[in-house]
Amino acid sequence: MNLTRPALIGAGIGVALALWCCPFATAFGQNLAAALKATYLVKFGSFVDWPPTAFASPSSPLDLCVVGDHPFGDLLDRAAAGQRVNGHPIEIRRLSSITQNSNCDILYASGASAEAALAAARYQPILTVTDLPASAPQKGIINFTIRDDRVRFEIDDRNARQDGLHISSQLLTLAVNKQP
Amino acid sequence: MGRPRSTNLWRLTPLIALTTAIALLIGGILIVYSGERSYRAQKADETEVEARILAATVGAALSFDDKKAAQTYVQALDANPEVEVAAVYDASGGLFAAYRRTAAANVPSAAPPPGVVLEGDRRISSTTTVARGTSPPVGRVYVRAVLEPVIYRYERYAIVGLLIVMAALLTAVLGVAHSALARINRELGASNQSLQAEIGEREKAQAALRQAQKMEAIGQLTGGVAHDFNNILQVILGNLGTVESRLRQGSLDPQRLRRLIETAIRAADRAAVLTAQLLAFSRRQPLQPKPLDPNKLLAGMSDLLNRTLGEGIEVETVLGARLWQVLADANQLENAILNLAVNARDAMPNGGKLTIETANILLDEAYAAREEDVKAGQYVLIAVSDTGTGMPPDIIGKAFDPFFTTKDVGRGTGLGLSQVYGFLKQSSGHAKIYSEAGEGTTVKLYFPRLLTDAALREHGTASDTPPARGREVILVVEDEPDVRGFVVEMLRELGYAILAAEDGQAALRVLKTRDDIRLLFTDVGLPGGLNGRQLADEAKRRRPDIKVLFTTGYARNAIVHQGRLDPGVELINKPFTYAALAKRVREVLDEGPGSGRDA
Repeated sequence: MNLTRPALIGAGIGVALALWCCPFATAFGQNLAAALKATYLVKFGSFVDWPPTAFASPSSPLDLCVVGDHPFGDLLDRAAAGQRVNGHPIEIRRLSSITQNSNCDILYASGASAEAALAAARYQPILTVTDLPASAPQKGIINFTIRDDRVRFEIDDRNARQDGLHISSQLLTLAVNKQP
Repeated sequence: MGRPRSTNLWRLTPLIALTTAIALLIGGILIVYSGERSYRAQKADETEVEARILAATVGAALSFDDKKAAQTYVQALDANPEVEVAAVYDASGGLFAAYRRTAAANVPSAAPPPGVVLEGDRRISSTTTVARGTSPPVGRVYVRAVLEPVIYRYERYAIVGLLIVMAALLTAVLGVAHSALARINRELGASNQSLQAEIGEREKAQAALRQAQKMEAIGQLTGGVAHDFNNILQVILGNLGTVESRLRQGSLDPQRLRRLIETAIRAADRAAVLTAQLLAFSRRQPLQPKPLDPNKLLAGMSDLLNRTLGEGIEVETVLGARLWQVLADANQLENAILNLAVNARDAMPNGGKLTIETANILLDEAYAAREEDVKAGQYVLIAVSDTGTGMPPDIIGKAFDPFFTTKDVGRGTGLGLSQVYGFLKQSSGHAKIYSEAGEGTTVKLYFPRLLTDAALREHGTASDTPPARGREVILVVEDEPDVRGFVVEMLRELGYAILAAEDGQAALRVLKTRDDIRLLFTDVGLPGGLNGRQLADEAKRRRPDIKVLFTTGYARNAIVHQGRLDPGVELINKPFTYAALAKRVREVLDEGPGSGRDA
């Protein structure tokens, strides 16, 4: 008997129970949300096409930069472990600030440093992801949000195209702000 | 040449039909099998395509745990009526989203392994991994399609199969029909062959029978002729022997010697007649037909006849007056009469009477139509009658056949009547036998009248019995030209003045112009609406003193009622002889003036 499989099923059932039954107000719920967001951050890359100049070679790493305060701890490293995005291995980089030469492909910016980071990433082929309230004046191309007690996201496709990124229609249809 | 080959082909036909039928059946099964295979393969492909499309679209929804979006995708497969179940499983194999067409449709709770699976008879499913690029799989999709119900497919196959079976049946039926036809042909051929063989056998048997009959006939002939000759030779040798012994003894009574020699000569004459018969039969003796008067010939034969017939038989000859001449071989005619006389004698072992009559005769069309090979016209009749035992009808039928004889071997050759028959045929005449058992036999010989100047001349001079003549005017009414001509000619020969008409109306016109007509001689049956009886009545109304003589071959109803002549009606039946006509005409003319008037 394979021991991994029942364990996985158990974990799956646990996650499902957590997703369906429990409010996010709890610490466990917040941790769960952070885990999901970390997973999503890794997975977004699969649905985004960068301009050819973004990567030196097909096997050069995809830089996932995290700037400022973040809730992930080592969750992000675990989510990215062994994962590849269109052949590129994922490299997690934690930065305090971001400049024109940070060479990020995906940038998670949050908290107070978000505004500066977004400004620095503007007009570069960087998929910016934020976790800001809907009322915030500046948000990333993808912005996490909670809808029906579930982690969802908004996508600013126009902004993405301005930055030279192409987001898969599959992903666009999942956005809570998708246009008909 | 082509026949045996085609026969072989016909024989092969059922086999060909059977082979064709089997080939068609195998072909049909193969078509059904391959049809089923390709249908399933096609459905498998279609299901896989559906699964791949779903996998390509549901990736993001799986990645980002959006069950609602995934549900939208699987629900979209509702548009395809063949899809029964569509399901999406996450990376751990748990059910993520599912579409079922019916509530009863069963959805696997865990993701099946990738691949295409035929589930039972009616379902085909395809499971595909959902992965984007080289990224690890994020889940699986499962699409299950319902195949068209087997019954529908089999119905289609059944129609195809039915057509194939019908084609096979048709072929088989045609084959059977052809083979039956061929068999019948063969049987016909066989029966035809056996028929031919039978005909051949029968011909052989008939040839053998003819040969046997010929041998028997030759035997009879030889026996009969030898016996007759022996008798004759006996008479000749006996008489000559007596003459020789008398001469040796020297008793030379000339009277007795002459009698002995005469007897021998008579016997030799009989032998000559016999050999003449044999020669005639073998056709070695050419006929020498000459104009002759049968009455003269018969008169010359009376001695011979008396001698031949012996004392017990009375001979009477009734020779017709002014008998016409005929063209015939005198010897053969003598032979014929002698043969008939001998037959008559043999038919009258206890004595009797032989009558030979001659007469001029008119054979009309009705008679000619009844007899074979007889033409209507004028004939001289020689009738030979006896008062003997007579012949039953079956003997009459065979009497003229060569070698047919009722006499014992040695008593007759069977050539007599056959000689008569052959001679008559050669002389363009014919012979007829009238006989009743116990009553006697009459053989009638008919010779056609000879019409030449010489004959007419001799005719004019010969007047043994002068017929009743006259000079009165006679109106002859007869529609048949030959008969009319014959009657007119006969009456003119008798000295009468003759007027002729072909029907009643013409006769009345003649009556109007001539008041010297003494006798109306009319046929009873006349064309043109006025029969002989009506014509006679009208003639008597106009000319009360006119005499009427009817003639008829048939259609007697106009003057004969209930088997009797009406009073005062004079009639002469066809065929009539020259003498009978002369007699009747004279009689009617000489009747009292009142006898013809009360009709």
